Amino acid sequence: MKNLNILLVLLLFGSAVQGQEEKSETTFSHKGYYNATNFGILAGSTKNENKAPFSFMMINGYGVTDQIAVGIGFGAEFLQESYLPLVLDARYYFRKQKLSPFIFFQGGYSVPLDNETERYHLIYYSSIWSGYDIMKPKGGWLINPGVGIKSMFSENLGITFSIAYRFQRLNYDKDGEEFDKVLVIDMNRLEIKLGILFK
Amino acid sequence: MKKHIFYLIILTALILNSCTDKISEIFMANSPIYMSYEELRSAVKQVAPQDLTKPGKMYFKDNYIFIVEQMKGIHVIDNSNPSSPQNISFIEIPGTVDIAIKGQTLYTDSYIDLVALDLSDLTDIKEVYRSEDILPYILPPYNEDYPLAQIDEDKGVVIGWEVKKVKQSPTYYYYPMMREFTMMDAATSGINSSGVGVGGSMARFGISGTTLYIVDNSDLHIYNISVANSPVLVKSNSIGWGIETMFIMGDHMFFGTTNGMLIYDISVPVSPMYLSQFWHVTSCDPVVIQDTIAYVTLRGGNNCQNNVNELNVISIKDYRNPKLIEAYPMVGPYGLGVDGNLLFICDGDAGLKVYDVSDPLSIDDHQIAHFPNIFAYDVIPLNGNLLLIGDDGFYQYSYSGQNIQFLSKIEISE
Repeated sequence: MKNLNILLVLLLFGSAVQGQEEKSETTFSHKGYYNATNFGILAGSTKNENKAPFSFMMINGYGVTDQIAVGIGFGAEFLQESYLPLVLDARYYFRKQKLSPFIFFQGGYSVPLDNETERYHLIYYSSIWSGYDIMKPKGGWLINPGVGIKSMFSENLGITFSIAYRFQRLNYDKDGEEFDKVLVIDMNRLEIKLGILFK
Repeated sequence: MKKHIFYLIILTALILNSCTDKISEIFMANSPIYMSYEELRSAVKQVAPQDLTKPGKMYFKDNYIFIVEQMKGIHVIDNSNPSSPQNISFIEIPGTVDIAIKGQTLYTDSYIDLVALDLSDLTDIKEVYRSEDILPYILPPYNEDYPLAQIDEDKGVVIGWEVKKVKQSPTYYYYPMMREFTMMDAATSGINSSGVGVGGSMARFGISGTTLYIVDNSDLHIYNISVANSPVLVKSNSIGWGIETMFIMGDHMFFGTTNGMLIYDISVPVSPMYLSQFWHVTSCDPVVIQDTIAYVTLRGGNNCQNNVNELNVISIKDYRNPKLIEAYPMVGPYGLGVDGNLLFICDGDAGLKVYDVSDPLSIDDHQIAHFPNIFAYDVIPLNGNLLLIGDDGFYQYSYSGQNIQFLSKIEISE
């Protein structure tokens, strides 16, 4: 159901922007090197502990055709702990024009930047954590499929707006002990970002 | 366009609401092994005799001894000749920990159910009554090196554990735990002079007249057993936490709690009335009662949270005001038993001691026998027949004054 909702949003978003693009007739190729630097939030339910953490991501990629580009990216995200997400990025532009909607998919791993963390309230009811344990963040994999719209001001500079579903797994070990106790947090978030595109 | 934006906002709100983080734990745990409720409720059957391995409460009836094999069933021992007791059959009852017998009907627990068995033909013992879901959902002993995995009560009762890696959401739920059997549990078994025993279980059974009392760790369930084969639940009352044992003497009911004793008046059987409490020490304190005197042995060290080794003599002449009337030093007492004026105390390494208790104020001056070579956890004297519970079996002796003579031994298998 959650995925269906996301799909509906993507379709609506696509159709909403489509009407505005009719006037753009200039052909634009997405081939070649590009850099996309995005800022935004990972929004979620108010029930979550960290409701809308900040997210930054820089993608360096290459347009392999007029409409398809692939890249690699890294960033910084400030969840309960700080993370360095490392991703592979693939995107498809629907139009060979300066103004174009696009879809993208990112997958990768978030590397923790902090050595330890405390999550008292999350683990209050835990059967294995005492509630006062210091835990060691181990990071976790992520997937990030989404949709966006790009508008180029010139041949080299443009902006993007994107919305994506973000799945982020975060693993934690009990610090200082080598045993099979892992805390896993699966984050389901709506990633909303603005970006600057250099080409 | 405005319509699209409106839908977009609504859908975004819905998505945001469903974007909930999910928290899980992955760890090695005692994962439950279930027995379905259907299986549980068709499991009672009489089979060939089996070896005793984890004996719990014992119950004497006529010339028979019924011994609970904890969580498994009940051994039926023909004790017509105490010199040669015969293990004649075994009744499979999953989850049984306590029993009580009235006439030809044996009442026991089977995990969450109360079960009644017809004993009129000991070669064909049958289930004649079952009250479902009346007792707490208890868990069997587990490997304490690992935590417990989540329990799904819908799947049935937990009959065992498998240590394996599990993934689950953090949860916390209190379950009463079956204590791991120790000989001290057997030591607090046996019977008192009213014929109602006490045992190391979560459920305790006691009968007075036509009333069956079942106490779990917090509630007292009262059944009318005027018609023995069809008990009627009269009511269930909360009596507080930490109830360890129950015994009934005449019109009074005694609850041994983790740190004391509660006394109730049951002259109106269905309405027990609280009278008093006597706070003593810890849960390692066997108690026997003879007339208006309660004898309590306090054993220090080990898990018993105190360093006192002594025999306490408590007057319960005034049930509303129990009083310690004397305390006698002991070496390391376990269980004790009383029959008439004879008090038997298993005093650890000091062996079995026998006292004349006709004068409770000078018991130590009236030690009439001492058997330093008889080591036992508990002793149950009954009409000249002495049952000693050792760590490898149940011994029977005959006694008369200072004379104690070995009769037989029922082995406990490893």
